[in-house]
Amino acid sequence: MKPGMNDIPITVSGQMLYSYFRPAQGQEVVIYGRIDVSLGESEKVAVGPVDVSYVIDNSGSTTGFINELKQAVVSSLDLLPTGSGLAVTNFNSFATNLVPISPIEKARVIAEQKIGALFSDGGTMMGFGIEAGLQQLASSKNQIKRLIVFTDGATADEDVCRQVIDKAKQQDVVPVIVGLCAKGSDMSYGFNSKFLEELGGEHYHFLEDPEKIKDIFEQEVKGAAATAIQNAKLQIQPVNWVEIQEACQVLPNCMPATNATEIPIGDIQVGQINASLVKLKGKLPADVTEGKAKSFAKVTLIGDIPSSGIIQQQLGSTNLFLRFTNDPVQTDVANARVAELVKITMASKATQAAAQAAASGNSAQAKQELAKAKRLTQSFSSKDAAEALLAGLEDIERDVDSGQAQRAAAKAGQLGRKTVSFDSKKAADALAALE
Amino acid sequence: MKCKCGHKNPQGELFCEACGEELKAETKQETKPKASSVKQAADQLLQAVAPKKNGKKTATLVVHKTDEEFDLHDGETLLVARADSDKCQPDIAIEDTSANPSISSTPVEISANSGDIFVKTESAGGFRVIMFVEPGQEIKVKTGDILQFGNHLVRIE
Repeated sequence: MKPGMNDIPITVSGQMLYSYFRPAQGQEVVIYGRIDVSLGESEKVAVGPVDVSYVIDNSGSTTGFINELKQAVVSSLDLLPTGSGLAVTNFNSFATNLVPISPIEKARVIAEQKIGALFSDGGTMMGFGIEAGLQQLASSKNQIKRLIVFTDGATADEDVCRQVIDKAKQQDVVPVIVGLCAKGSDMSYGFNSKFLEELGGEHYHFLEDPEKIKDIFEQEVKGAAATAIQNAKLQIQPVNWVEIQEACQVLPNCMPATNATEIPIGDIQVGQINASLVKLKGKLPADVTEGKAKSFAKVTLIGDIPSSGIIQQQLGSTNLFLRFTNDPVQTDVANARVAELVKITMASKATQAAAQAAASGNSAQAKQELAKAKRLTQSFSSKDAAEALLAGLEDIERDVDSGQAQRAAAKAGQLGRKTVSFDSKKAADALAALE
Repeated sequence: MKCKCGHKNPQGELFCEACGEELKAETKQETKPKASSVKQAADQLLQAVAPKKNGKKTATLVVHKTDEEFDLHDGETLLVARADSDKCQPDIAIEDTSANPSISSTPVEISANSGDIFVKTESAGGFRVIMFVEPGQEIKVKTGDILQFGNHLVRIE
């Protein structure tokens, strides 16, 4: 650990679904644990300048909303902190670098002019565009880098896209993929949401309304500027009588659960809610007795803090432990924050299962999963989160009912993943405040 | 920090990385309290010369509010009553200075016999026992009993 690491205001905390358990020696226990990671403001985790390379689709199909798209890019430039780098590339059948990477202070005026002059024309070769956009970031100076890609259609070079995105990730460039398929348009003509999600992962945004492009660009630029820790992961080290059954990040994104000892949590932004869930199983050892405590697992946060030159070091740790008592008053009380995270995870999984069923054309299964997600959602303690999620689920149900299976799949995939709070800051705050 | 299981843990760990044992608690238990006053020293001396209990320890009674612990040995009876009881000298004296005390001055006797624990009282108010009912277990209850589910109580009337 580097000198002064203790000054970095990172908190890693663990809670079990039950804090107290009966000392039932030899009993098999399956229990959930919640791990929260939070980061306060500090000079040691300075946030600020970032390098952003925009890659904009201006193929013929963008005619109906090219103005909203141009306005969205220009508007998000206002959020780039001083010292940030900016590059802009457009693509249709070809890719053209409109603004080579340069400080925002110098690039701003020329970027506005070039973006303003763009018009819709030609085909969609996204691979060319993202390759050109990534090249701009190769020589950029800031540590936090974003490749923000917008597209509205199918591309003929999916494999090239995959290769370039892999390369970007190796270079610590975070790809942000914004896909638009306007409401009412036919998605079966090739808009491939699944492919775009594969490229963007937790930074993929599926949109139906062009007016929302601006919100997403702004959200991503703001998020990049607030990012202090990158490539973060939680290492779960169970004790010798415990095994991991499931582990995944849940907030801000519900990612697929695995039984691996590592949970990738990506970027950590100052003030952002970040929570993961683990399901642990173990047979209580013979020495558990009244009054004792036992750790089920040690959890360690590893990550990079580019502003301090820290690369893949331990940033904090905690234990997931239980205390043992025969007092039923204590053993029967479930922790509300952990219980809520379990419900969110189950609702997210059901929504993601609905997405898969819809994508494979199984509407009946999709509806069944959506109904399950709705039931779970109604039991949330956070009424704001429940309200936001229920509205989304009902919208997806309408798509399934009207035969828009692919659209339903794209929306359910996104809704099931973006758990922070289902796009509501108020809901996120409510979740964070639960005690 | 070496755990009793033999695993060597990095400095500052609260739990053993290998077996999960609480390391801090272990250290605390090993530390003998220092006598900070003449009275404490005298108490320790009296304790050292006091006759040892013959029976095997059956249970430890823990007073929920104060965390005070009392060992109950086989063949022994402990009296629980209000601290200012005029009817007995309680072994477990519970302070209750409220205008309408809920703790009786008539003791509840808790005794151990061959590994079993028995409780009884002559107090007119009686007392309640909160029992843990195992999954699948059926017990008989009666009017006046209170069932506890988590933090919630249900009274049978």
